[in-house]
Amino acid sequence: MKTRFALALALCLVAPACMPPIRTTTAFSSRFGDNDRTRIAQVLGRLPAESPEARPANSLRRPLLAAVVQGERRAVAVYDLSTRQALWNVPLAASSSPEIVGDAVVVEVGNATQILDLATGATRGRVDHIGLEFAGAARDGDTIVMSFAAGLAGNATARSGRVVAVGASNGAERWSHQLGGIVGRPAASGGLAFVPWDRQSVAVLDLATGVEQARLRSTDDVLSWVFTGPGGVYYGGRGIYRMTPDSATGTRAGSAYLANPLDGVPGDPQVYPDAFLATTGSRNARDKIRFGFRPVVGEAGRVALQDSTIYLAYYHDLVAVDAGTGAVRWAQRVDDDIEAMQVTAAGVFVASGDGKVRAFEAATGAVSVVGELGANLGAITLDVEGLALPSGGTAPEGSVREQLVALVRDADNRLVPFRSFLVGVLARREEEEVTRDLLDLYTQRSIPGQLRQSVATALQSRRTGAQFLVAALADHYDYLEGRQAPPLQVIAPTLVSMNARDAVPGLLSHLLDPETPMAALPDVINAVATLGEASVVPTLRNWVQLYKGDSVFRGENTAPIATAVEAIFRHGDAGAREWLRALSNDATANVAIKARFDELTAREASDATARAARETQNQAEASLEAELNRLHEAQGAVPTNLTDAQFDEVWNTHLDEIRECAQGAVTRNASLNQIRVVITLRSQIPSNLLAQHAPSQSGGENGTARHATTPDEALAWATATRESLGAQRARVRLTTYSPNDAQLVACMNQVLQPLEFTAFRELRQEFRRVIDTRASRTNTGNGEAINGLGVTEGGVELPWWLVSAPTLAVENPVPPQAAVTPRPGTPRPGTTTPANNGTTTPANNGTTTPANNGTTTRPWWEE
Amino acid sequence: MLACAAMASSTASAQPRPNAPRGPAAQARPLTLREATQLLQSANNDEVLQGIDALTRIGSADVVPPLVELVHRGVSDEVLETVVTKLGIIGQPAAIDELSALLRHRRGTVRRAAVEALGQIRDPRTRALVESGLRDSDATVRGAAATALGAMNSRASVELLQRAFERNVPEAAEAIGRLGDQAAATRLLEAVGHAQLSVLLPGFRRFLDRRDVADPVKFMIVEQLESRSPTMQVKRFLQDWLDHLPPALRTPSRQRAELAVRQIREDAPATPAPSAAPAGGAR
Repeated sequence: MKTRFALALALCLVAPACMPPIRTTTAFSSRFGDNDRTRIAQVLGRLPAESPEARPANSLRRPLLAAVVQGERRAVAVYDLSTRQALWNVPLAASSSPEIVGDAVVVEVGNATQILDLATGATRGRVDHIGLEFAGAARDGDTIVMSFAAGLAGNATARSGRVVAVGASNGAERWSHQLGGIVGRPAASGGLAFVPWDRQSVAVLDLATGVEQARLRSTDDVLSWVFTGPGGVYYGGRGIYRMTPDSATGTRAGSAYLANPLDGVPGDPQVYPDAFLATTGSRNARDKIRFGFRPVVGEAGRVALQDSTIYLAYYHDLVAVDAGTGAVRWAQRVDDDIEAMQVTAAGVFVASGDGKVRAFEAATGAVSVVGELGANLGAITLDVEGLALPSGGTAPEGSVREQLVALVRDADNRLVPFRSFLVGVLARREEEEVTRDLLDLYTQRSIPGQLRQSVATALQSRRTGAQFLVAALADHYDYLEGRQAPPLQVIAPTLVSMNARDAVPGLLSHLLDPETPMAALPDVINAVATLGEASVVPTLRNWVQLYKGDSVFRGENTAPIATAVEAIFRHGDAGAREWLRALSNDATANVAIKARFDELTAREASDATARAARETQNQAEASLEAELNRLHEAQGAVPTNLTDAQFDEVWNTHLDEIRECAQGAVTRNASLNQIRVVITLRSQIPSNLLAQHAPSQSGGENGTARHATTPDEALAWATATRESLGAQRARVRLTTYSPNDAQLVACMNQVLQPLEFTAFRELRQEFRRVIDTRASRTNTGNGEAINGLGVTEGGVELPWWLVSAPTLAVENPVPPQAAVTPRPGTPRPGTTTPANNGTTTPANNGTTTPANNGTTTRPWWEE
Repeated sequence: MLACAAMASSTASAQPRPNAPRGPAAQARPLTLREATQLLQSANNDEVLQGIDALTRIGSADVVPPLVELVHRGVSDEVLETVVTKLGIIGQPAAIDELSALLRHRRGTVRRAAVEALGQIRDPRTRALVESGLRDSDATVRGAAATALGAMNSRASVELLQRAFERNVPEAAEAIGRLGDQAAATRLLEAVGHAQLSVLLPGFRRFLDRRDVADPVKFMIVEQLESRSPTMQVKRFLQDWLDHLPPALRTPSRQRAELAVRQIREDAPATPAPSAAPAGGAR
């Protein structure tokens, strides 16, 4: 049994049939490395050089238009625009835009994509969709690559895609990939297929084998389309990338990238048609809102556009925009909706549903008709590179500003969102006349509400052209003339924004005009008061006085009179205030007057209180800051340790007493040459006296809650700390003498022990003094120098102890000059000096007792 | 407080204040300008109205300033409208400036009263001011202005009145009838069939009643009315006019009116059929 099992196992190991098949994934593998600079460079190396000749991409080299003929008898047709004749017309119920790929036309019909002969329309082959939707096709050489995906129309939950390469002559499949993500319309060039994948990557496949050569993946953008054009391969979403080795960065900043200068276009069109959205076989709104551009290679391989212009087609409007600045170059309207657009080296070609093909001159927008095909067309594709512009086009009338205004005035209500968008574009222009244009648009009666609101918003954003608004104030309502009051609710706040003080007379005239709508009066009054300030107070007073008892501003209409009261309150003098006070107490006056006056008075009082509080607080903070400065100064003045000079300041005041002690010692011991004194000082500055700021919390005494330290409390802390610090003294902790004569010790201790010195930061410091008693003797004649003789004022030499000398002869080494307080264990410079035994110990060990300990009420910072 | 006499014709003055001197002597004595002016200072609305009445009775140019001052002080609707009305009754040109300012009052009733008051003041400045009332957004103000212009015999305003009539100011028709010439009558006749007859007929009646309008013009009006609108409304209108003519007056226009009354059948439509194109005179 065992032998048989072993035999079977051995057979299995050598026979492939027993093992699961090893699947080799040649594309779209999750293990494939993306953004590989070397691979991308290799791909770019395979791309053909750009042809200097501008000509159509199709094999016939003629300007062509392919479209689906609409109507009862749907068909696919290809027209030669040079002859304006149809090459052919084949009845087909096409459901996608026909795509011209070399010598073929690819179009979706039902559940398959058909390959038609470009010259005759004859069917060469078909590719079944296998349950997926046709996304698009591209061709290079004799291979057509097609993408299919599930869910392009948003009607599938499962995501799957398929990329198929077929022969252009017969549609025979050469290779295919099935994957678990969606793929979009591909591009092809240099024997490579570029397949956008899952809106994040572009897979580059070898057209001959289907093997993936490289992959781009964006880490900070959405990649929705790819196409080959002049200068290489372009891909992107809202902006345009050119494929370069830097594309390997996978970032917008690192790649050759051009942002779309127009943002916020209604309908949110991408800068190039979305490769993941299947085309339809008919006209649709998506095709009517689109950008058009022709890329060229810019400086240092960057993305640039032909004529540096990007075109926006919006139904029957075409707007040319500077690709760098977003400034409109021209805006033109045509009679029919634009269904297809191609930007060529010569200009812009557009086609409309009635078969009319027009051309626009890039520089001026002059439009001319290329041809009228006389057919009802949809899903149009143009291939017109190299087609010359007809001469004698009609340029749009007026300046760019006027062209934009003309588009905004268009009565086509389908375009209201776009007209609103153009209002914003118009408002950003600098010409002062734009303000007048916007005002005119606002007062146009037939304007839709949404557009009117856009105009109002745009108008209020203007900062120039005030003179047009001021001029508009000259208009007043007139029943006989059918004239309306100007839009004061828009004009008045805008004039305030513009600080147009010359508008005051006009605004006043509207304040006094009964035809000024009640709702606009507050805006008018506010503008009058803001721009006129005190000069308009008398007029406002008269106005309020006239209407104070009138019913017109009662009920729901109190806002204007209340606004006027506020204006007088704000801009009037003391007399005006007094007048308002009297008016508010007038029983016959409108209650709104009193209400607003009381409100303003209360608010002002509250503001004054707040101001006073702020002032007090500022003063307290200033005092605190000054006190803290003093404290910090005092803290900074505390030395790390004492200098000899500081020590001697005290020592020298007791020389006479010391001398007496020394004299006693010499008396007892005549051979005594010197007396050595070692004095150890101790300085115990409490660490809290060296704190820079008050503790953050205070309170807590007797159960009171702790709270953030107030400036007053901090001030008290700083003062007390500074005073305590000033009271600190270093004291003599230890004295040693040589000789250790008991009488000398007793005498010297009596003098030295009570001494107090300037406090210092270190805990201890030693000072040594040597009293040279030899100075008391005169020269013996054996060559010994007379040393230390005292000299009276009369020049008589005396024994030193008989002279009240300012200093004793001391051997007093220079103490170390430490720049910073040394930490324990850190050797201090100078400590190796033999004479310098002034070693110190840090004082701030935190165990010290507060200076004011023992008081009945401790300060809050000690609690 | 001052003592005041009762005002016989005024409701306010008929009720003397409690502390006012009573008795025949006091009641008989009219208030002086000073007394009446002082009453305007009262916090009592009735006393203020009494003062206004007293000043109106005085009626001289001196009474205008205190009334103007009262307006400027800010008063109730009732007091304001009373003052404006009284300024018209007083009829002093000194009130023109104030009434002119009140043409811009936010309440239409005040503007209407101001227009009416200005219409009562004989002064060359008032015509333009009253005419401005035709441009008002308030129909009652426009109507009052049209009526006032007619009453003022402001022939220079006919053209403006015609425009106002065509812009739906029906009162302008009667004013045109009072002021217009043959051309104006012809233009008004063109509105027959477009505007409501009830609006037009008062204007034609004014034309027909005027002595300064030549009989051929009246003849034309009668003839055109019959031909353009042979309705019972026109028949009754003409009959009423005929009824008011002196019996001895035999003019071609009268004969034509009598003929028209006979020719319009009793079963004729009461009013004209509604016009497809609405025109002036219909609010």
